[in-house]
Parts: sequence; structure tokens; C-alpha cells
Amino acid sequence: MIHIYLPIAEVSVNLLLLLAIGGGVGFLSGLFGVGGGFLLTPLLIFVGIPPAIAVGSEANQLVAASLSGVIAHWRGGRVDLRMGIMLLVGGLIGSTLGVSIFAWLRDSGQIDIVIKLLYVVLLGAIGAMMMVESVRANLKNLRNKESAEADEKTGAATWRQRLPWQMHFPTSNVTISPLLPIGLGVIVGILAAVMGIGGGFIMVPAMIYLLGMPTAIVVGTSLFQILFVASNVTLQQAMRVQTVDVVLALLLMIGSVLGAQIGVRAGARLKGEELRFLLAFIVLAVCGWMVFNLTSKPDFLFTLVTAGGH
Amino acid sequence: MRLGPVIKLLGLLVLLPGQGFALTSATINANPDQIRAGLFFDGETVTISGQRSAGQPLLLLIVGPQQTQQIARLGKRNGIWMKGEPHTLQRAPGFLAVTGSKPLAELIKIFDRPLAASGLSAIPEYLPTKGIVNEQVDDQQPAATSTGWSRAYATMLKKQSLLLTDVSLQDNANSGQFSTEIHLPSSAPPGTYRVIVFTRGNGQLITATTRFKLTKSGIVSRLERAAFDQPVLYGIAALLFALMVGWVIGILFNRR
Repeated sequence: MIHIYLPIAEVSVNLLLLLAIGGGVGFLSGLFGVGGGFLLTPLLIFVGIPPAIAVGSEANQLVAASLSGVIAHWRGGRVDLRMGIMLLVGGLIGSTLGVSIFAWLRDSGQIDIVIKLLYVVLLGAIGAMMMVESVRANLKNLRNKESAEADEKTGAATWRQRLPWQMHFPTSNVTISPLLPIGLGVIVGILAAVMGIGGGFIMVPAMIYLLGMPTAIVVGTSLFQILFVASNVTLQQAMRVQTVDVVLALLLMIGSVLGAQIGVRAGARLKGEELRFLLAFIVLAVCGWMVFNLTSKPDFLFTLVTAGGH
Repeated sequence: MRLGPVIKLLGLLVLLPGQGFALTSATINANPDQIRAGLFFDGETVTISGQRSAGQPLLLLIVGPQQTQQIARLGKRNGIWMKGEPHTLQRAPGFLAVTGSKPLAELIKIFDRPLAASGLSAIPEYLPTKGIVNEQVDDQQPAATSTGWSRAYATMLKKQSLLLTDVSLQDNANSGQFSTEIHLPSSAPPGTYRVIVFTRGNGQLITATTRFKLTKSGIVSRLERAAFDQPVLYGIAALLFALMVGWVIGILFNRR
């Protein structure tokens, strides 16, 4: 078994294991349009990578994985560039605000607990909502697919149409106020900065339910936004805290870009409701795991807070 | 009268191994004395060997780079496990291995003073001299004392194979020669490792020290230097590299 010594993480890890982890997370990324950070961080920590290095390096691999995914979706005409730019504008504002919020929370000394609680609340709410909706949609599809889609969009459509500056987004074929995607971008940007994630698992369901975008377009557009967020996080982490391990990132990249391509192809064969059901299942499973972690007695009751020097 | 040959003869007698000859010094060697952590580094075994007066007690310590560490205890509040106030451990060893010719608690008592004189007075706190360092520090043993915090830290080291307390020692009772092998895991911190032997000779307490270094080398060293010395360039390079990989793979997989 080949082990690779990681220069920044200062630990030796099995090469095949890292490739497999990257491949698995890349598959989910291509399938659902989520970055997979919410899965990758705990997996890397589990194999012995220090948490800070895990977060910094996965942002770097996410750049490669999301770009390869964007190219695949772009060629299939499944990226709404106009919507993506709106989301990005909001994301930049939100992530700038988020960095200040992060600093405030860190000073309070319980940033990790706050992050875990945020995860639980968001994952639980989004997962439950998606699960209920996808089950309902699947049942309705048995009767009439078209009426089901019309029904599910009716509630959200009424209040969306009351917002000012309605704009048409031809790729997604929706007419909404740009305030919605910008606002969504701000919220996701804040969460991304505070929680150290791309925000795809929040963005994807929000784009489906809040913006009323077709599931097929949502995945590519989400990856487009994640590409920029991950690029920004890579630069910030490398320059400010030196937590980007390029060797770790490269191995994750190789696994994840291959996994993402397989995921994109698998996703194209699945219906929107099926994709949403699967994502809901994974999101709820991660949420349940985090609740278990927060409430069950740890194996060891002590933890290192900071390591001195390098 | 020429004293040279006499002195040489006396020196030879002192250095000759075997019972009945009391050495006034001890020797200690570490092999290799330079460990290079390259891209495929997966830990290294270091052989420690040396000699002291036969039949004399021996305490052998291998102490890794010492640094300040902050450790916190988890407690349940409102149903959630949260960190408590952190405690700072000064000069905590990043790696520690210990072996000797007698039970550890006995050796620590014998060599209490030379340990302090070597700047290692805190080291016994990390060693299982008052019972084994448990896999789990019990709920009922709050780490209110400095020993409690040190024991908790020692347990963390042990879980990562960075605290070795069951190292076997090859000790020749007749010659006083001894040797042992320790395995440095890949998670051992880079830096200078001190190998210290405490023993007795002619009724005196004797200390001998040697060192070995664990340093990053090759591409590992270059990448680390770039990350810490030129973080802006490193960050831009990491980003461009990721974009290139993503683009190449994206194009390769989506050729029409």
C-alpha cells in the first residue's frame, strides 16, 4: 500500500484511500451539484487530517471538481449564467459579511459548536422539506406529472411575483425579481464563510423551491457559483492561515473530478424527483449523524484547542 | 616518568565492558541521526544503543520537539457536548518514548534530580508512573490538577502512537550494553529529538545525551517553504493548478 506524506498536514495517508474519498464525494458533486464539503470534512478528519487542513485543502479540490462539472453542464446547456451571476453578487456580499461574523463567533470560543448546530438546523430543515416534497411529487407523478409540477410551484409563485423588478431568466424559464437570487446568495455566502463550505446543499434546494428553477439547470448553476466561492476560500486560506495542502488537494482532485464526471452522467439518467429524494436521504443521514455526535458521549473527553508553532 | 601510556591504560580499563568495571560515563547513539520525510515517508524506526556500567539502573528517554499546547475538556451542557475552558501545557512533548532497566516509577524516583537538571522535570507527568495512562480518562477524574491535564494529553499522544511506554530494552547484564528500537510514526512532529540516558557509575548519577533530527525533504520541504514563506504565490499557484486540472479533466470527459 502506497502512503503519501502530506507536506502541510504532516501526516502520511494511504493513497488509494484518499483517491476513493475524493471519488465518492466527486460523484455526489456531479450528481447533485453540491460541493460535498459537508461530507468531505468529516471523512478527512476521520483518516487523520487536521481539521483546519481538511477545510483549506478541500476548497482547493472543489475548484477543480466544480470546474469540470460546470464544463459538463455548460456543454449540455444546463448552466443559467445570468442567474449564476446574480447569485455570485449576493455570495460576494454575504461571504464578506460572513468573515466578520466568523471572527465574532470564534472570539466567543464556541465556533465549532455553533457550526455544528447550524449544520443540524439547516440540514434537518432542508432534508425534511426535500424528502416530503420528493415523496409527494413521486406519488403525484403516478397520477399526472404535469399537474404535480404545477401544484408544487403554485404556492411559491404567488409571493415571488409580488417582488419588484421582475426579470426573465430564459435558460431557467422563470421570471423573478433579481432580489431573490441576490438575497439567496447573501445568505449562502454568510453560511459558506461561517461554516467553511461551498453551500451547494443549501443552494440546490433553495434554487428549486425558492427560485422555482428546473432541477436540471439548478445543478450546473450551483456548481458555477461554487467554483467562485471555492476559489475565494482557497486564496484566503492559503494567504491568511496556510492551511492548503496541495498534495492532499491534488489527490482529492484526481478522485473527485473522475467521480464528478460519473456523477454528472448518472444524474442525467435520473428524474428530478429521484435526485431530490436521494439528496434528501443523504442530507438527513448526515444531519442524524451530527445530532448523534453532538449529544452522545465522546470516546475521549479531552481535545486539543490549538497547536503551538509550526 | 612518562604518564601518557599510564593514562591511556587507565582509559582503556574504564572503557572495557564487563562486570567489575565501573564506567564514569555512559555512551548513547541513535541510528539514523537524520530522518528525511519525503513524499513517501511513512514513519521510521530508530535504533538506540549505548553502554553504561553493568548492573546499574538505566532510564532511557526519547523526547520529541516540545511546544505549547492548549487542551480543553468536553462537558455536557443543555444536552450538547461542548469544550470547557482550555488549559495551557508549556513545553509539552510532541513525541515521547521511555524504557528502562527497572519499573518506571522506581527509575523516576532514582533519577528525579537529573531529570530536573536536564530541563525535563515535567516529563514524568506524561508518564504512567502512577498507574497506566488509560485509553479513556475517566469522567470521575476531572483534570483540575496539572497532572490531570498532562495525563489527558499523554492519552492523546498514546492514541496516535506518539507516546511509547512499552518499548522493549535489550540489556546485557554482563557488558552493560543496551539497545532498543523505537518506531516514529508519520504523524511525529518534525524537529530535533533528544535521546537521554540516565544511569549511575562510581556512585555518581550519569547522564548522556544524543540527538536525531526529523526534517522534511525534497518536494515536501519545498512545498512547505512555499506555503509559509510565500503564501500569496502559493495560494495563486494552488488555485491555477486546480483550475487547470478541472479544465483538462472537464474537456477530456466532455469531448464530442
